[in-house]
Amino acid sequence: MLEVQNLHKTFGDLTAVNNLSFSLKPGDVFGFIGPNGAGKTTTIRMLATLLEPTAGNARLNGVDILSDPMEVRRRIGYMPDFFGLYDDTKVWEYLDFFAAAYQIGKKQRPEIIDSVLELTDLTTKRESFVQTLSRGMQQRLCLARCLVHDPTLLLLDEPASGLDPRARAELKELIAELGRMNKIVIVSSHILPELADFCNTIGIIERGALLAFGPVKDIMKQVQPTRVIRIRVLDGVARALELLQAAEHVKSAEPGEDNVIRVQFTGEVEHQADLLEKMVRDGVRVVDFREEEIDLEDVFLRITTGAVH
Amino acid sequence: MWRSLVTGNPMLIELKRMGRRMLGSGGLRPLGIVVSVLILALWVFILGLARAYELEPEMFAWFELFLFCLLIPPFLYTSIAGEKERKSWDILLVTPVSSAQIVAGKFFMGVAAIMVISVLFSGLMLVGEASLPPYDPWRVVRFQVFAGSFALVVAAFTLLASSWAKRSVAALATVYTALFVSLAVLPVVFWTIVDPLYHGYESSEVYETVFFLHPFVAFDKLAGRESTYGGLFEIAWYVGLTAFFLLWTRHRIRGSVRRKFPGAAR
Repeated sequence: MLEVQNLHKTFGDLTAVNNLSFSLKPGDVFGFIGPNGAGKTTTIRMLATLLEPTAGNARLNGVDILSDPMEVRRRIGYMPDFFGLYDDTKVWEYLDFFAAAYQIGKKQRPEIIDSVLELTDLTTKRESFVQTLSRGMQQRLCLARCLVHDPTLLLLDEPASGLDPRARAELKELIAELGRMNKIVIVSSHILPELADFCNTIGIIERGALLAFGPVKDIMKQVQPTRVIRIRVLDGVARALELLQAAEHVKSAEPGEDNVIRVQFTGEVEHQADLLEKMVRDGVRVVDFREEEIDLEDVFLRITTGAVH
Repeated sequence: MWRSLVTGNPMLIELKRMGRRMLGSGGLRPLGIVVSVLILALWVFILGLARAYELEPEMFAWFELFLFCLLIPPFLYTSIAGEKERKSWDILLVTPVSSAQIVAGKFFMGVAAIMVISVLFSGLMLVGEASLPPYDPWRVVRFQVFAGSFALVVAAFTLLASSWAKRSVAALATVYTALFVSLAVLPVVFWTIVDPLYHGYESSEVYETVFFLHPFVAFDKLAGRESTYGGLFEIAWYVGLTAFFLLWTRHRIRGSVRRKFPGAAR
């Protein structure tokens, strides 16, 4: 369990992180969203015990980051936004070095290295030199490095930056798998559509303040309490409008171009089905009937103002 | 402590990396082999010269001291500044590796380089010594311990410079400048300004007193058997300075961590 309480960081007059509080449980994959300079990296660095909070605290499974940072370090895996690997080192040697750094016994290391290589799909690259790996593979190796000591919390700062679509997809799958392994994963990113696929919780931060926090669906509901249904009819828009305005759960219906009507709907999916059935029964020739789903990008744009420090 | 800093120190991976860098990454590349053969040929050639012309071991020791000044800094200047440049420093800091282990691991890289150079030169010096009776191999050992201890100072100072600098090139420039100023510029300044004031013999005494740690001055005394306690005094100073620079480097690393997260400095 990760409990963050009133985490606050100032650099001179600048408040980089402003009283951040949230908690995450094992299995949570938390997408930390915010514009550049919002305070994501500062927060992650504080949780990684690389930067001391000005005020507030965080506890990982009851261990305080302020009073026992060394113990916290044993329980976290940290992947910075930009990182370098040790050239002239083979993949397995790189992992062996970090396993040794985390005081894992010499006998256990080969097994652990094999398992993290398998998890990150780098088994075939075991004997390769790290500098010969592609960017995506290096990113996976860095993630493998985070896993050698079996951490409780993974802090991944912009892990998908600079990756091609295939590498991003592979990384996404890997992060989702880590969540299934009951680890707490914090992922900061500005590639929003991707976060929605594997994060079960998100937090939106702007100018150091957490504007929204919770399960993805709940936040989407907060942002858009009513559903928007897009209906396209072959003809008879006026008749369709008349029918819609009289229907139950319809808040408003606005005609648009190309015989399209956008309906603000307060009902559930069952009520949507009823509405469609009624329209068809009343002779309206419906060509298209679907709910317009908002995505994380819409949520982000609606919640944030675009202000930066 | 021995286990933590030496046998069980994960930072010893640096030795493996250095070995690979020297031989070409990925193992023995053809270029690495060619360079190694060339070095070997040069070594055999100088060895032959030493036999033929009865070259004194002092000559090699002088050359070795010069090589230490020239070659040790490039082995170590990237050790800490380079980590910061390639953004691997934070990753290292969040592991439970201590600052002492980091310093020791990096320093051993320099020690290994010193040992390789020392072994190469020991052969040359032993042949030189054998060509000039009476044969005294202990003289060679004394020279090597002296030169090696000075090389340790250069290595430790390079490490310190690397912990200060934001860019590794700046660390290298700092070390070379410091060596050039202390070993060349200051003696020249002395002879230009101080010597005329003494008119003769006394100035040499003052020079030797002021520059008692200058490796070439101290070595001259050692070679001429004028050195107090057979050079042990200077060697003790060099070892002390090495320890001082290493502790300072460790303090720098701890300090940089402490500034950001006081509880995490170790």
